[in-house]
Amino acid sequence: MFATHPAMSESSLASDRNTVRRDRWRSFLVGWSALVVVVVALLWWAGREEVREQVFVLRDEGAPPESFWVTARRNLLLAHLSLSRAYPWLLLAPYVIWAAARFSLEREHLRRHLLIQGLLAAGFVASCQGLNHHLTSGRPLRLIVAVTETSSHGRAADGSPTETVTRLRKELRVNPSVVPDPLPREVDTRVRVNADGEVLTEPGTREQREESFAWQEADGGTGPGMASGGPLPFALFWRGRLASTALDLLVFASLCGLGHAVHYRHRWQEREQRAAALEASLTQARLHALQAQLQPHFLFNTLNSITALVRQSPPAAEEMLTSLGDLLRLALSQATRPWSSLRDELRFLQLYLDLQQMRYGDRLRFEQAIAPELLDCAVPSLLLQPLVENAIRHGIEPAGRPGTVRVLGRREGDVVELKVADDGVGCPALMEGEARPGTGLTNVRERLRTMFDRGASLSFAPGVTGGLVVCIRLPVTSATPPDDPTTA
Amino acid sequence: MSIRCLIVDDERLARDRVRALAHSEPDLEIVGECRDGVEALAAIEEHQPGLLFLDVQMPRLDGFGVLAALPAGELPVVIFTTAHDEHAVRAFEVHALDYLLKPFKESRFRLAVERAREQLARRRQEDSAGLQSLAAQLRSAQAGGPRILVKSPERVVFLRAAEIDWVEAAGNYVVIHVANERHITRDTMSAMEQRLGAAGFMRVSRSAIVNLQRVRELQPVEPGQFCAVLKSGARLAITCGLREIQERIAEL
Repeated sequence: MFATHPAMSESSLASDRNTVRRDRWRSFLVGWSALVVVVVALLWWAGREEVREQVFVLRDEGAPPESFWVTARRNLLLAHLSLSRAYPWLLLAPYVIWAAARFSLEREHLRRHLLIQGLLAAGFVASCQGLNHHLTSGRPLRLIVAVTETSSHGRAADGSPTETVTRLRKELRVNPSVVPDPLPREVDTRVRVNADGEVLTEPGTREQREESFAWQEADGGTGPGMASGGPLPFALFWRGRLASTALDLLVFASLCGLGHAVHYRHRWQEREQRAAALEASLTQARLHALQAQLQPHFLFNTLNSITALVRQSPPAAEEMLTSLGDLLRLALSQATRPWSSLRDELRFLQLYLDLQQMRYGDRLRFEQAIAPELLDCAVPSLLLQPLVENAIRHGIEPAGRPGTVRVLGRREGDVVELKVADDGVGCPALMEGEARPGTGLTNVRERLRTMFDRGASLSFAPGVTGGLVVCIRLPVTSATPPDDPTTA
Repeated sequence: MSIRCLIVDDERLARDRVRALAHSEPDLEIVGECRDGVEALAAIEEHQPGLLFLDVQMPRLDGFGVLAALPAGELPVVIFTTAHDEHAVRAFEVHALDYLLKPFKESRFRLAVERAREQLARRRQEDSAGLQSLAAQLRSAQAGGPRILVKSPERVVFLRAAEIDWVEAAGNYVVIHVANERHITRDTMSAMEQRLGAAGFMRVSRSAIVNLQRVRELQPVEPGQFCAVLKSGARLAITCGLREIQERIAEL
């Protein structure tokens, strides 16, 4: 009775968009992982070097102007040092965001997801700390940022001329995993050289005076100095570690928040799409119902039968004509509502079958077995009739012998199971998942998908005594059809 | 002369309808009723009817299957009766005489039977004149000229060229004037011209193709301008030369 559902519907387009998005994200993560592996390998290798001492001259009155490349390298290294804290954050960010979306903290699975997120946080912090630790490993990186050299002449005890060269080096000692703010140390080195430039190694003449390192806290106070080269005081070490762990956790939490935001936005979008798709699908169904009167097969054959009855038996013709009127009226009214009770659906089906029976005589038999408690359930409108029409048109009609159509309904827990079975010719093409051509099955499927998402299903199976069995499973819905905002 | 006819339809009520209408035609003799294609073939072989009322969709063997199974030289006149308009093109191609869309009016039925009468009468003439040659058979098959399929949502008509008065252009469609009926179908004037050109039709202007056998006279309207007056009374402006038309008419 109802025309085929043409082309693609809104809902399938929307789900395609989601699939494309998911695929893109997945390939991005794979590419990112490759990048992470490469970068971590590089950093690991860089961290294994024994000596990492590099000399850069920042500011020197008497030194020749430095080359462009030296400046570039120094700036790069300085940038690297300040950012090195953030490398692990950047590398791990996409995963954290993905995990936050995937294991979002919602009402269902709250405990499980919370546990997973906790484990991920620990893993995140451990990776950050580990990477930083490995990179610095307690070995300070020495950067010499300024060298000034002054010389003064004097005389040694034996009267030979001596030259005293004073080299003032400003050193930047960085151990990022411990000290948050590196400050330059001043290292004063005094050596004695003779006229030829050779260093005089007299005991006691070589002085090395290192000033204590003082760093200033944010509030302006000063902290204890750091001895050069020696191990850090225990408390200081752990205080630094704690601070950096806290920072890592903060970063993790922000990324998690970002992931959740992304996740909820997608969910909201999907909901909007689904509502639009449902509306479109319903409009289609309404259109098809209205077009029903132009569908030749059922309607015109019925009218033709009535023209025959008019001469043979006017009372029978009258009966058939009025039944047809009732059927059309019911069809049009149901077409404007997305839900009807199962009782109404069966009433419609009975009218339809009465008319069909007048045409086919004893070629068509009908049986019905519906569990009584299901009669008040809400089902999508015009659900059963297209299936019965298919059964008659493709199963019973082409068969040379009489056939039976059965409609069965039962409840399995939360699920309503409806079956339409015929024992006519089967349909081999259906077994491979293709729908029969020219049927309203596509529309039924689409509506089930948009109304219930994955909660409903439509499946086919060959009948025990030949023919086909179409099975629909839906969640049980309350007696009053739910209020749908998309109804006119 | 009585016409032997066979009614084939899988629905009892549909057969009843055709039977009732056929009974009201005095020269139709119903030799049998069949429920599907297989029964039909057997009945055709036994009774040799001249006219078939054939449904398309039937179990076991459908209407087209029946025609395909019959020997080519001895096809009866076929009138299809069906609720579906989608078989019209195919019916046209197998040279069915007519295509009745269920439910059809009594007048429509009578028109179809009238055509069947003409067709059968023509065949009998050929037979009685002893013209069994291939040329004669071809001529009789093409009697009336090429056929046009006119399909609209509410009806299907197989028109013979000889029945057409003239064809008028109407945007993406053409209007075919037959006696006092107008049939509209989606087609182009050039396509119609090609199809009808060899059957005594001529394109006299951008918007008209005329059946020259229907032309009663050519009247001058202005110096140099003429119009064709058809037997039905219609007046058509001519933009091609007068001599051309006169030559073509002389050829007929």
